[in-house]
Amino acid sequence: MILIWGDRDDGPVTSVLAKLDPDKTLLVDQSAYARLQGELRLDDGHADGWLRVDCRTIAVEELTGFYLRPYSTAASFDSHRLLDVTVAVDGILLNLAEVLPPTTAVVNKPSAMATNDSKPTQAALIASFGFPVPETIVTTDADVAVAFWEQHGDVIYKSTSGVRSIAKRFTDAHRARLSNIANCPTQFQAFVPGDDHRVHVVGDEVFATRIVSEATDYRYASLTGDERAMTTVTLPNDVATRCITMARALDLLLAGIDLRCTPDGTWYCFEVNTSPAFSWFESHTGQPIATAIASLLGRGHG
Amino acid sequence: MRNSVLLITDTFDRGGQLLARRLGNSVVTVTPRDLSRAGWTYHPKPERRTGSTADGAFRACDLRAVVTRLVGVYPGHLPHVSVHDREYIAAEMTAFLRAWLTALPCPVHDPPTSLSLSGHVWSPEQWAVLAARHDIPLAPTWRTVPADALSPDAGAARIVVAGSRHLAKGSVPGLLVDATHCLAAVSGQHCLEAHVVWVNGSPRLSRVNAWPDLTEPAVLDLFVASIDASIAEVSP
Repeated sequence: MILIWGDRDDGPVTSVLAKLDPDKTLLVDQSAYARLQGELRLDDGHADGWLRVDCRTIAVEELTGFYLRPYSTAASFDSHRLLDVTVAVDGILLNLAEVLPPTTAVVNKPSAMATNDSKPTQAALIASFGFPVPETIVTTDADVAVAFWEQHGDVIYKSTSGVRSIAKRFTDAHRARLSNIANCPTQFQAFVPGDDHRVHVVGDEVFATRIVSEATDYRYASLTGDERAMTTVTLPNDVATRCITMARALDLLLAGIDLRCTPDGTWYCFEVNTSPAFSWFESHTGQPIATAIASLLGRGHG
Repeated sequence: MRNSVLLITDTFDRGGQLLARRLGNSVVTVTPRDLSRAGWTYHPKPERRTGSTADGAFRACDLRAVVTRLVGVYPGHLPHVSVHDREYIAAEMTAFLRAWLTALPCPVHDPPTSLSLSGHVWSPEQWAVLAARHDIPLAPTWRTVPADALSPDAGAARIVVAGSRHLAKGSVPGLLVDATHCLAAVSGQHCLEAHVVWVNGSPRLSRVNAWPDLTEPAVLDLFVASIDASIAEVSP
């Protein structure tokens, strides 16, 4: 049996559901929390219990896979009457994901997903796997930011946390309002030229997409009127192996790794997305990412 | 501010305030509001990290120890920020602190983890899995939807460990004192509290908590002594 937790209209959830046998899948839809009942027990480290949605019940021991892609809980209840239900459902599912046996494919554990909540912390981990990472500082100090800019010449700024932001080039126009960074630590990175690659790792499988765009942040190329071309590519073996090794070490059965290959062939790593919106890349390239995830969920892990 | 102990706390933290009072002049107290101040820099090299409070600037490498009393920075910590921006800035400050506190050369109680700025904020189930892996006797846990009950009722007897020291309240079997030290060691927690329950005639740990209550004088004494010991361990 496979458990899915998320919004049925969310692209990645929709894609995975489409590849699964409905008779072997239980969906906990975030818009219908009140329909879930369940129990989770732990004794001597062994988890058992059951989950029920409407009239369908599954035993925790039956699970071969669990795919989690919930949105912030704050958005998942529409009145205070459901707050206690939301807390209970989040509590049981978040904990279930952490305590299932290693043979169950959990995509991904919440504790593993949280590594992306601090990009500079994650960058230090990435560097330990042999990937160069861009020179980075995070500061509230305008003088430090200017010195960093003058040192590197070409600098981008972006969010430090996992909150999505648009990476932008730092320019003279920003200098005048640089004193604003005293309000909040701001991340600056030396710009690295080259072609972006999004690498999705699913277990031991690798799906690489090359993105060619003039935009600083290719995801938002249309906002700046830039073109964007996305094609499936095969990574050099050593780079693909490093991606798999890194995802495994970060306890991620699914990872969206952002690489950039410089003109001299150096592969920089910017970030490991721990709950990637792979369906967007799938729709542009036809890569069978959801099929690979569904297969992993069905056969279990290890 | 050389040789100071950095205390990261908030204005609601009574235990943190008592700790600051006990540490006296050697403490530099930082609250989330201080992160809206020029002078903070994270650099991958810890010796190039800096911080700033109303009392002045400091370098991370000049600190003797760090005590973090925050799981994260939350919108409620930031009344000086416009309501519209509070959630985003709270996430950014949390991410910044997580990086800034990682890999410092001085003792950090406790180092940040992926889910908390200070040690583990694990559920009873997560403690139970770790304990089972190391043959540490922990009481069974359960939870339900709709919410019914959590772990068995906590007993009055309990143990608090801090570093190599501990404090036992009530009748605590010696094997559970050792078990609590062991659980702290395998989880990487400097400080840990656990209650004692009896299951089928056997004593087990329950209600494991990485945040013992520092407003209790004996716990505060234990914690301060353990900080001093950890500083002495790394001092030349």
